[in-house]
Amino acid sequence: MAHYLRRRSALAGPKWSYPRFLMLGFKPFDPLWLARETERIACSGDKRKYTAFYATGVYAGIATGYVVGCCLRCFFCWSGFERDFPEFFGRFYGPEEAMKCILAAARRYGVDKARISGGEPTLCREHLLGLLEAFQETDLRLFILETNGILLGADRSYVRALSRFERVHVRVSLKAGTPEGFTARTGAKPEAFELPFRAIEALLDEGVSFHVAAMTDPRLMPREERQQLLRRLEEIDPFLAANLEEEICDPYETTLVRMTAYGLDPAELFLAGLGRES
Amino acid sequence: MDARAELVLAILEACEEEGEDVPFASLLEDIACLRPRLAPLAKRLAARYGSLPPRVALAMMARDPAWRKAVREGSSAYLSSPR
Repeated sequence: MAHYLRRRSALAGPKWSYPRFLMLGFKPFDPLWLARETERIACSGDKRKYTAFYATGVYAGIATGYVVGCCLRCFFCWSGFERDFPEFFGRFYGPEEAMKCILAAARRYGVDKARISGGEPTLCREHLLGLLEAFQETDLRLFILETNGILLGADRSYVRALSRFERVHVRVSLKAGTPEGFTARTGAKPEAFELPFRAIEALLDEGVSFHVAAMTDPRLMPREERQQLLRRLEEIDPFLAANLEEEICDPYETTLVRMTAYGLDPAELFLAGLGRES
Repeated sequence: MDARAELVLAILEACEEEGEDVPFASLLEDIACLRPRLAPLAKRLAARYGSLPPRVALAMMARDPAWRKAVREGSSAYLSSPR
């Protein structure tokens, strides 16, 4: 124990405040700060940590590079524990090397789409832009960039950089329809609620192909909040509201652990059904 | 509502059930079976966007001059119905 405490003392500093699971009474964090902290762990120059390359049936078949690290801490998140403990998972890949592995997975499973998943792809900007450059050299049809929109909303030049890529489609995943809901579900401070909406406006202005998804599962989001989210999208562009992909929360192992850590009973939540009377 | 906008509306309705994981071509085939009047248009659309996920295809149609107006009209009709 003394040894552990000495080590803990030696490690004391910013890393000890690195948010892991969302827990009751948490202190909301700045997601841009968390992005920088996570990049210190999951990125190195133009390299990024990956844990696997495979293909899956979503989007009717897509090759996937599974990355480490996110700047939100959604309690319903399904991704592996590398989100919470990025230090312990993955190995670094450069953009060309990662795309080579993604392409190999695509060939193995006979699919023509690609993505990176499991973490926030817009972390490690240099890596992502390099990966998309490498993607352009392949014969794959489409790269789907699934993002929470935090970093794209904070920096217009990032969206402009993405607009150069013809075969990239962005999927912005919203977590909430109000600042309070955003903080309660992601752990991020309420001011950051606006960032994904800014990303959406920037994507529209820069002519990037994209659509919006949202975790509107009625067990997690009250009906009125969902209506607010739909209204907000409709104000930006009615088509975005019409084409909204509404997500449902599934009881993945990691989701169950994260909910429990947050003081929720997953059994109560998942057995409650999907009625929108919350 | 013209046939293109009607097809967009039918696609948006079908996407409520399955907008991500089936190829757009399969969804269009189902629509064409249920509404034969829209079949020729659905076939043309499938030739261009059929291998994409439906919501991705819709996003691309919204940027396509040949479909932009129909996407606007279909979206308005979709949003004006109770959800």
